[in-house]
Amino acid sequence: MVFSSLVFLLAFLPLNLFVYSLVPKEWRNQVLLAFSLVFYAWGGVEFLLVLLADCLVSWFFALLIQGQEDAARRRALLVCSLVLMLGLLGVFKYTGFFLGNIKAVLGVPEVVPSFVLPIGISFYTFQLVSYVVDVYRRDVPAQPKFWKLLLYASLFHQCIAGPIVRYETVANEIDRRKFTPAGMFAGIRRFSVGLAKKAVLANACASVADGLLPSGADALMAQPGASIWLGMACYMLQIYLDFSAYSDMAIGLGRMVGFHYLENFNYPYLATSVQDFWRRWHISLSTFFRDYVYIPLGGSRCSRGRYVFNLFVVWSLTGFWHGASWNFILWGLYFFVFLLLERFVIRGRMPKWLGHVYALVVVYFGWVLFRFTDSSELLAALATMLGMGKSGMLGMQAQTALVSNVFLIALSVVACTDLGKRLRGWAFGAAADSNAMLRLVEVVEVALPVLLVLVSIVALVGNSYNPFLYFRF
Amino acid sequence: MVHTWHASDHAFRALLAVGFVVGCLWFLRPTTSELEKRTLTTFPEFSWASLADGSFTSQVGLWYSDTFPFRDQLMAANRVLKAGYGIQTSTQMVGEQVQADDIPEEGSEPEEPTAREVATLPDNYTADDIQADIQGQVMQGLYVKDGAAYSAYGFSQDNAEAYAAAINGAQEKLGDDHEVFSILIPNNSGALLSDDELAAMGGSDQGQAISYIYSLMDPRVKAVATYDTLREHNDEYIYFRTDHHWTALGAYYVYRNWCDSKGVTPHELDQFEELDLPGFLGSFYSELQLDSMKANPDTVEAYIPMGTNDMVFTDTDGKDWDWHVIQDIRDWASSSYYLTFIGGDRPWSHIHNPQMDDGSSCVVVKESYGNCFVPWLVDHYEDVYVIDFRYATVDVVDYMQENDIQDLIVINNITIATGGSVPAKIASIL
Repeated sequence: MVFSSLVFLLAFLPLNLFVYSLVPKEWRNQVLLAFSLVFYAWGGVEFLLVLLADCLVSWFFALLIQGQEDAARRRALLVCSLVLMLGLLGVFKYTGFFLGNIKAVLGVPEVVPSFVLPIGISFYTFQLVSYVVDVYRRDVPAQPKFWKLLLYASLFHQCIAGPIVRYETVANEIDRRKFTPAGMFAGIRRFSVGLAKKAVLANACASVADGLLPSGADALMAQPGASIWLGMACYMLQIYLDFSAYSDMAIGLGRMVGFHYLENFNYPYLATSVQDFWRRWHISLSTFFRDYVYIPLGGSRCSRGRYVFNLFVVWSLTGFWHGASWNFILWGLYFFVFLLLERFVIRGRMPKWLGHVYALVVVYFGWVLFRFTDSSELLAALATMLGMGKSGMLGMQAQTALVSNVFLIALSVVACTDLGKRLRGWAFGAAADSNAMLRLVEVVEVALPVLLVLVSIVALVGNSYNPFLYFRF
Repeated sequence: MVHTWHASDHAFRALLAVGFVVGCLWFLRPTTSELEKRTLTTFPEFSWASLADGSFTSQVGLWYSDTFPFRDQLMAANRVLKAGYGIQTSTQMVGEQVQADDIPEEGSEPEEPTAREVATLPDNYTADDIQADIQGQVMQGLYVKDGAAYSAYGFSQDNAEAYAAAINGAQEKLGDDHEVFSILIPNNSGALLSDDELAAMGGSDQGQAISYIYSLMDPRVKAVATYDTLREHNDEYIYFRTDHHWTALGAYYVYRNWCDSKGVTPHELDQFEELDLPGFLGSFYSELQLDSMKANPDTVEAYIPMGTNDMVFTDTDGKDWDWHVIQDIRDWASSSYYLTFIGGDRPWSHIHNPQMDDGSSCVVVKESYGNCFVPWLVDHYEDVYVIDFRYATVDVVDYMQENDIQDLIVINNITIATGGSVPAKIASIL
């Protein structure tokens, strides 16, 4: 189930909110767990077993680690738990990739097995890994009750597409969270904004992008270069609006019931460098790799060679996390190269405006690498962008797509900036001095979420094209 | 602000509650979409296996959204929303640029037209697969001008050879005692647009492609001229504006060329009784939903054969229906008016003309482009058998030989004939 589906919006969510507000406080976690398991099982009951197995492993080993004083044994238990959890992720996500590559080189095995990737496995595995490691580091106490750990991992707000919520972030709120009208309001507003971002903007940008970026190298070569440029620009908008919308909705749903998840995006397309971009993009993943891979490897407080190695490992893994394909590894290493460039060559000497342009260009071509999992398609797209396709650079398709979606694209660009946030801040400032402005702000604050949900419902009815890009991770 | 928070909470919950209740009104859920010309998603049949792998719930989600009450009104509102995405110009190019191979000089290869082996279908290929294949090709790259859409065409060397080979194979099996006619119809763009507009659209020259494919055919196959004739009449109503098909009038001009090939005298238009169905909004409109199309819908003009207007068709469930060659369907949804011709796309149809008793007969192998051509044949044969290759599994050549049917007429649109698995499918029944 996805948040931007009618069955979630008009069946699951109303029922969830209704039942949650009806039951006594002490039963609310059980209600959340039950709804979360139904939500997860919606994608296939059999995948629930994988989630349960992962949870069981982390719960069991975390308790063992906590009860063990011997450092070597603690470490051994940690390694065991990581092998089991990451092994499970590896089997489902990477078996086909590794065996496929082995087959390409050695000719065996004859048949490469393929596994259906359990929804959200990359997200909840990382959550549970962070939990066990944090228990090992004695940053958090182990959760004695299995069902509560299961609630943490399976919570439908964030289980299947992030953000990667650390256990320490919600440990207290699992047992002691407050429901407040302000929190409910903030949650509704955030959820509604995310829903509209997804259902109206991201889906429409996806439709434009997919119309201009056909599958297959030959089809790409047949397009005019301008179509690929514009298609990739729309894809760049789509991928941010899509993913950040999911995080908005997750954070909003959490706020409605008293959970405070950390921000996952901070207007990444306003970045002034690649490093800045990665501080603003998928923050929960970046901080995961920073805290559990980069710093344990030695971070930046080491020799230059070691630092380069540490970065290399982190960015290879970042790429690989996004998908079992060479293009994702290439995508990660692409950013690794620019980070080295910024560290050793640019060294902060670029003017801010130029840095912004530079970061956008680097990120744009990063998405080209990200989009095309097939290397022949990638090369075809790049060649066509350089005017080496069969149709030259200009064509009516790109012109039509641009003109007939010009307001959509403009609004999507605005949605990638903090303009809305600034405008709201300004309105609140003005409302402090004017009663009329205060009334207006109040009306907008009440009407806007309802309006956004209504528009989203209109956009979702009969719309079979409603993908969430980050589901495949 | 506390009252604002409460008001927002109440408004949000009320909206969801209303949506929840409306979603539960199962009797308001539509089952078909006139606009999209399709049956809406049905509620899935339960099985433990489908619950385990998620296909059951996935289908439930699709059903819930696809059949939501007041769907048409909400989709109309969505169209208004989408219209605000940008500026709608009178000339547009929608969709991707079609892929195209270079078209070789006529007859330059292969030297032996029948040498190419006929193509074979993929395993488990169904009528739904081929239908999806065809629809996707026709709608791939659309040029829109003044409330009319035009399909681009991309030549495929391999499929052109495969299509010619399929027809050559039939001629080979039938021998010299049977006449085989091949009719390849250009898209509306090829017949109607100027050279400049065609160049802006991209894709291949349809006249050149048709000539080339004809040049690959066995010399015994009678290739009926279409392209130049239709271009000569391109100031007349020979293609629809809002639908990808040609009109009965367009088919009439090609019918006259067929008569030349066959050596018979064509009937004049004014000999036929005409049936008009105004307000037709066809497949292009369904795809593009343009107001400029809605403001200027097409009229389906049909001409009733003189010999008979009776026919029988067999549907995909094997059931026979008594029908009319030109059926008055003005009470049906206006989007379906092209179905006035021979009952639409049926696996098998038979028209017996009681005004003739010479034993003359033909089999027409076609897709929907052939539907408005068949009525013109009725007055030239005692029996006309029509096979829509997408849904048929019969061996046409065997059937013709067993039933002493003289002529085979294979009539298809150029994009469809040489797209996807169509040549293989046609070869499989010839």
